[in-house]
Amino acid sequence: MSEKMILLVEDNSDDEALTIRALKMNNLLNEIVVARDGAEALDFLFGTGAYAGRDTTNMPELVLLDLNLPKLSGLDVLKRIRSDARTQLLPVVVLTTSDEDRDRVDSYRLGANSYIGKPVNFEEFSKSVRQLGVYWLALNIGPPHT
Amino acid sequence: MHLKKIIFIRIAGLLTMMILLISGFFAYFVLDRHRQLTLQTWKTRSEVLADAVERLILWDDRIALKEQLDSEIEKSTVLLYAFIARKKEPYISTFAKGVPTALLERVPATGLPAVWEFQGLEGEVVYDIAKRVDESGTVLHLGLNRREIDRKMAPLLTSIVLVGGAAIVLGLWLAHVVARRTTREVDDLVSALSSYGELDDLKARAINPKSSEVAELISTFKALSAERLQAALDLQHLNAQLEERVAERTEQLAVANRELDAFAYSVSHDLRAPLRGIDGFSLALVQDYGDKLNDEGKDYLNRVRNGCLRMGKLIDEMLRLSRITRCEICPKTVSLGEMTRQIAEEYTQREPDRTVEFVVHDVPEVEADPTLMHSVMQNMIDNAWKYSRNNPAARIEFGSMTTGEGPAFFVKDNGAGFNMEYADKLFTPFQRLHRADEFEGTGIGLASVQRIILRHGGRIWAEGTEGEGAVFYFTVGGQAS
Repeated sequence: MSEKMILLVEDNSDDEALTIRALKMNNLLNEIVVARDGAEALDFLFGTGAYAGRDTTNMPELVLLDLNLPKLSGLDVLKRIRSDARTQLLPVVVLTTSDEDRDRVDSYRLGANSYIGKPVNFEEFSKSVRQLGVYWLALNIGPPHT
Repeated sequence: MHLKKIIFIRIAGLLTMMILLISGFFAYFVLDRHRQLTLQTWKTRSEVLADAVERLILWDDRIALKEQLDSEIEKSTVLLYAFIARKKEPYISTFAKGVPTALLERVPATGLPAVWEFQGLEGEVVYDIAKRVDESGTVLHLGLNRREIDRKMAPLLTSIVLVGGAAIVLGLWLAHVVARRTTREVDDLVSALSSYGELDDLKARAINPKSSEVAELISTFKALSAERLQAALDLQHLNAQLEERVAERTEQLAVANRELDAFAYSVSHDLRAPLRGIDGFSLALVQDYGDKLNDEGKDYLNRVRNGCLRMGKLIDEMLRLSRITRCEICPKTVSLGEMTRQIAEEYTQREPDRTVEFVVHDVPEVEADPTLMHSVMQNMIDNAWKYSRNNPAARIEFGSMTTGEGPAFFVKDNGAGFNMEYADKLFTPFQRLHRADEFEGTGIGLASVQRIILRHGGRIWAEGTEGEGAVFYFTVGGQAS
C-alpha cells in the first residue's frame, strides 16, 4: 500500500468520479479514500463510527475537502481537524466550486493549507488537480508521521 | 429698551420737570416778595432818617450829617452807601472819593419819594426831602446791597431746594413703582413664555393680568402653544411611524439581501457542479470512447461542452454582478487616467497585431473604490477594444469634461457603435445589441459598470451612431478635491 494516501471528502458522485479521473489521468496513483460527508470524513480520520478500529496512525498525506457537504460542512470538518492533536498538522486543501470571498477567508482562518476552485471546464480542472497533486504529494514535504 | 424703563423715564422726567418748575417759581416768588418788603422797610427807614437829617441840613451842620449817615451804614449790613444831593450836586456822602456821577444822574430833580427796583447787585432808595428843607431838588439817597438782602432768604431757599430734591427723589421712586406695577404682567408674560414662545396653563394662571390687552395676549399665546404642542406631537408620532416603517423596510431589505446572498452562494455551488459533470463526462466520452464515435458524434459532444463553458461563464458573470451590488465600497483617491493607461498597455501587449491609437487625457482624480473603478475602466476599454476591431484605424480616447455635477469622464471609440433607439438597453443585464457571432460577450459588462457607478453616487449614459462609434460618459459621486 502506498504510504501517500489521499482522503477525498466529496458528496457529489460526479465530482468524485471526475476528481479521481483527473488524478488517474495525471498519473497520481495514490490510494484514494472517499468520504461522502463531513461526519464520514471525521470517522475515517479518528477511527470512529463505520471506521471503528482503523489504524489511526495511518493518516492520509493530503485531505481534499469540499466545503458544501451534507451533515457536517467542510468548514466544520476543517475546524475539527485543526482542533485535534492527531490531525492538527494534516495538509488540507479546500477543493470547492465556491469562489466566494467569505468561504476563502473562513477556510484560511480555520487553517486550510490551500484553496483551489473547481472550474466548470474539465480540462482546466484536470490541470488544477495535476498541479495540486504534484505539489502536495511530490514536491511538498509534509509533517512527520507520528 | 424695556417697557418698564420707558415708562419710568417718561413719568420721572415729567415729575422732575414739574417739581423743578414749581420750586423754581416758588423760590423766585419768595425772593421777589422779600426784596419788595425790604425796599418798603427801607422806604420807611428813609423817612425816619429824613426826620433825623432835616434839621441838620437846615443848620448846614455837615459834620453831624456825616456822622449820622456813617452811623447808619455801621448799623446796617444792608446799607452800602448814603448821600444827600441838592440840585444834583452832592451835598454830603459816605463815599470817600465823592459820589459817582452815574448815581447823581439818576437822582430825580423833583418828585415824590421813589423806590427803584434793583439794578444789578445794588438797590437804591431815594427819598425826596425837598419839602422838609424848603429847597427843591434835595434828596436823601440810600444804596442797598442786594446780596445782603438775599442772604437773609438763604435758609428758606435752601429748604426749598431740599424739599424739591426730596420731591424729585419721591417722584423717581413713584415713577419706578408705577412703571413696575404697570409692566409687571407684561414682564410675567414674557418670562412665562419659553424661548420657543410656548405658554403653558400653569404659568399663564400665575400672571393674573389686570389689563385686557395682556389677558388677550395670554389667551392668544395659550391657543398658539396648544396648537404647536399638537403639531409637535403629530410630528413626533409621524416620525415614530416613519422610523418604524424604515426599520420594517430595513429588516425586509436585510432579509432580501440574505436571500440574495444565499441564492448567489447556492448558484455558485449548485449550478456549476452539474455543468462540470456534463463537461467532464462529455470529454471523458471523447477521450475514452472517441474511436466509437463518428465526427458528427464528436461534434455534438463538442457543442455540449461549448454550451457548458458558455453557461459557466454566464454564471460567473452573474455572480460577479451580484457581488458588485453586495460588496463594500472602500473609497480612495484614484487616478482614472493612470488606470486607463495601464489597461491600454495590457491590451496593446496582448494583441500586438492590432493597431489602436490610445489617447488618454489628463483627468481630475476621484474618490472611489480602486478595485471597482478598475473593473469599470477594464470593461469600458474592453468594449471599445472589442467593438473597434473591424476599424483598421481604431482610436480609443479617454478624457473628462466639466459639468454641473463635477467632472464627467468619457470613453470614446470609432468602432461598431450602436443605434440610439436601443441606448436604454445597453445597461440591462444580459441584454446585447450585437449577435454573439458578431461580437462575443455575455451582456453583463455594462450592467456591472452601471451598478458600480450608481453605487458611487454617479451616473452613466451613452451616445452612439451605428458604424461610427460610441461614447460612454460617467460621473463618480465623491470627487477628490
